[in-house]
Amino acid sequence: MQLRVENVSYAYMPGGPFEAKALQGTSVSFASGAFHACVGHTGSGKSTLLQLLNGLLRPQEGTVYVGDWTITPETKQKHIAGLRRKAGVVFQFPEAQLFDETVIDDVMYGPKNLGFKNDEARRLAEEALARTGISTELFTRSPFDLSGGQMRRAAIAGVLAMEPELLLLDEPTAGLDPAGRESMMELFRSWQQEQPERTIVMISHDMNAVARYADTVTVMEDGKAIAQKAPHELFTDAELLERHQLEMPDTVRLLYRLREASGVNMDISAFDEKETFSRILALLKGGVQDA
Amino acid sequence: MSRVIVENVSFSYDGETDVVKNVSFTAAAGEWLAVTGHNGSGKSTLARCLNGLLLPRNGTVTTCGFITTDPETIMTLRRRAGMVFQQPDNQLVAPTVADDIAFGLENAGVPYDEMKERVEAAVKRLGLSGLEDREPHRLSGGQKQRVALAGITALKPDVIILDEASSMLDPAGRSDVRDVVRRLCREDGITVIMITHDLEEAAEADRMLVMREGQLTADAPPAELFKKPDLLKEAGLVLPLAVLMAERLRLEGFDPGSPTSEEELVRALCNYV
Amino acid sequence: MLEHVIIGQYVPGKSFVHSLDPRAKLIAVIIFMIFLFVSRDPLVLGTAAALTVAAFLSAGIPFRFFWKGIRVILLIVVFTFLLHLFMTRDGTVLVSLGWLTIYSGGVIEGSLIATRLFLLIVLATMLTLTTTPVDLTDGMERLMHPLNRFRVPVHELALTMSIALRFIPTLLTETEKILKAQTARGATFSSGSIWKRLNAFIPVLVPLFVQSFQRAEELAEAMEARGYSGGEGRTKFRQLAWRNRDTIVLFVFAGFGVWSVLSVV
Repeated sequence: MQLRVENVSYAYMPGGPFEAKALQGTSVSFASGAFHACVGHTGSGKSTLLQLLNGLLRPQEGTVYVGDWTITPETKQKHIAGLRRKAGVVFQFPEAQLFDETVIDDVMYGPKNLGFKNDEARRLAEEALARTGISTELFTRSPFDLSGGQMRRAAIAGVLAMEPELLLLDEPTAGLDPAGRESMMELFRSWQQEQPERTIVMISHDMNAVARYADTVTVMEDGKAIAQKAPHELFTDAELLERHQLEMPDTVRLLYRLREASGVNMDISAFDEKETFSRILALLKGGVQDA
Repeated sequence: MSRVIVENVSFSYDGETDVVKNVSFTAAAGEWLAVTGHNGSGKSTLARCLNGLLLPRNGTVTTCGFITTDPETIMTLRRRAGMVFQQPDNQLVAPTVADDIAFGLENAGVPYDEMKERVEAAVKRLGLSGLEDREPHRLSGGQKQRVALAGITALKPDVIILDEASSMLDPAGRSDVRDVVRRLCREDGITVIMITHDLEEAAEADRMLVMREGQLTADAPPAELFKKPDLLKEAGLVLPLAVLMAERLRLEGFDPGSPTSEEELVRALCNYV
Repeated sequence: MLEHVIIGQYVPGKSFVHSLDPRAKLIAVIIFMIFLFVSRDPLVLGTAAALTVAAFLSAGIPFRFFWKGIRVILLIVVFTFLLHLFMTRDGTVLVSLGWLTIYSGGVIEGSLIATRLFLLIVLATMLTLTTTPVDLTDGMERLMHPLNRFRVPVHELALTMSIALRFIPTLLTETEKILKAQTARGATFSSGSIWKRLNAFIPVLVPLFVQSFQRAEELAEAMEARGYSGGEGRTKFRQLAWRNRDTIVLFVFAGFGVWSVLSVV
């Protein structure tokens, strides 16, 4: 799903003494069929941007294009109701949205709201739960009896069961341990790659995950998108990262420090352990330079 | 004398299965301990035994010279051994930063003039100047944890227990909290007991304790434990990148030493280039 | 619309009204409330209006912000006016349209009640706009302190209120977040029968309750860890300072009260 935001501004509680400008005339676009990441400090406007992309918020100025939908300040809520079917949102700590008596009922909530019949909704829910790794015997348990990690997965299943084309993720791995983070990211990537039109926009502070899984990275600062680059371009640009106080992924930082300390020129854009290791090995075995 | 003495402690929530099994260790004055383990390994339960929020089914815990089972001294014990929790939001009680820092002092019945001084000192020490009148919900996660730490330091504690205190924070907040904890431990001589599943965080500690299914499976300096990667992996822990790289380099016949941090690895490798 | 309602909101400032002791402001508002309803003398009401205007002007609240916030509440005032206008059957008949008869007494009674109500709302709003909820709670705790002797748990009540105040914004954020999350899952809260609409809120209320309970549990644990064991032996960080200006304000309002009574006698 193709996404485009044009000169969009948004402020919370506009006009009053508590006005907080979140987006200030920003423009950015996200190509269809890719995994996009959005990074920046707390308060840079990332979450607001995410909510504009599925119509939860409407721009106060400017235009948002999501697939076939066009959202302007005048757009009526009715007009974008159909967008909800296509755009799923996983908020930060999504386990907070679980409510139903059983896990399966909870996951069926979304599909049923979209008008699916019981059987169909159940099939979608079972598929989504299987995909997120919730075993069948947990389906009839109360969602509040699950472990923290399982609750997160069940909540994500609740969004995937609606069969969105666009998935908007707000810090989906926050608070998980390293193993949990990795399997969650693998889940999102395999979902995205399954169908050509499936698109993900993910907000994250976890530069390791961003570097490994995203096709493009958008940098947000003070309510504006100030750069959009491929991970290997962004994360090797030490000066740009420094200027915007963004962290390097662990692997890149290790290689970068090694390059600075040794004075040997080497490619530092390695985002997993295997690649990082082969770069280090190459360096030690006589400074083989691969570009 | 040790500030924390844990002797053969077992704990069970339901009276049947023990979540902490026969654990013993001590922590000296000014020492920094990292208690690591997988989610559900019993490390947070153990933390709650240290200040008497939970009482052991078996064994004893003596913190700052007080046994946790004595109701007469438990409040004194808790003032000397403060605790920072995982959820920044759910431990701040008062409507402003200064009020919250004062909460523990109020409980201890500290007179107003002294209280005011101590709150001001804690605000300065924790870098919260200018935020005194801020409401908790307008703070970032890292700031909230620093407020929690300020409330504890104002009580001039001997021990600070951090229960996954940075796991909900963004990278900036995490390093913020770590900087503060480092200063409190290294400069003020406060004993720090840090519960964490992040070995990179644990690498800085003097000693690292590994919990696995309620049992204490290791208690040694991080550098030594990083030489036993299998033990850590079995406990469901993920090795820091530098440690992992060093391990693989050893297999390839190099000798990178036993680095606990990126800096140390880089330094060791530069000898080869 | 709700974000415009300003009753209960605090606007930071350093005005004369801001600087008053919360106890002085609370007592003043209580005096005002009681004696405003004693007298029907236009001069007394005029003085009340003057006091209100003076309070508003010296508080330095932006007029547009104030007006926007109070508009909704004015509906109540208008409604009260109309109620009295139609229901009072005193004085001479002014208008008579079929079943509808308006008496001169209705006009007088309606205007009187509406004016009183309006003045009271404005002054009470000034109290909350210029006093932090913490100071208000504190002021109330001090004023109610004598009730301790009658075994009223004043400290516990004040602490409960202060914790509630601390968590209201958190709870609001939480509610908004869950509302958005369920909206994104296709929930609609504004169509269908009343029963259907109420049902639609279950997915919002259940998570809110679950989280509030969890929050309460964690908070209790944190308080225990921080050495809280009830009000006994506790000292207070917040000190209130009564100054001359507070005494003067009280005298002014007390004077108003006395005059209001005298005008009736």
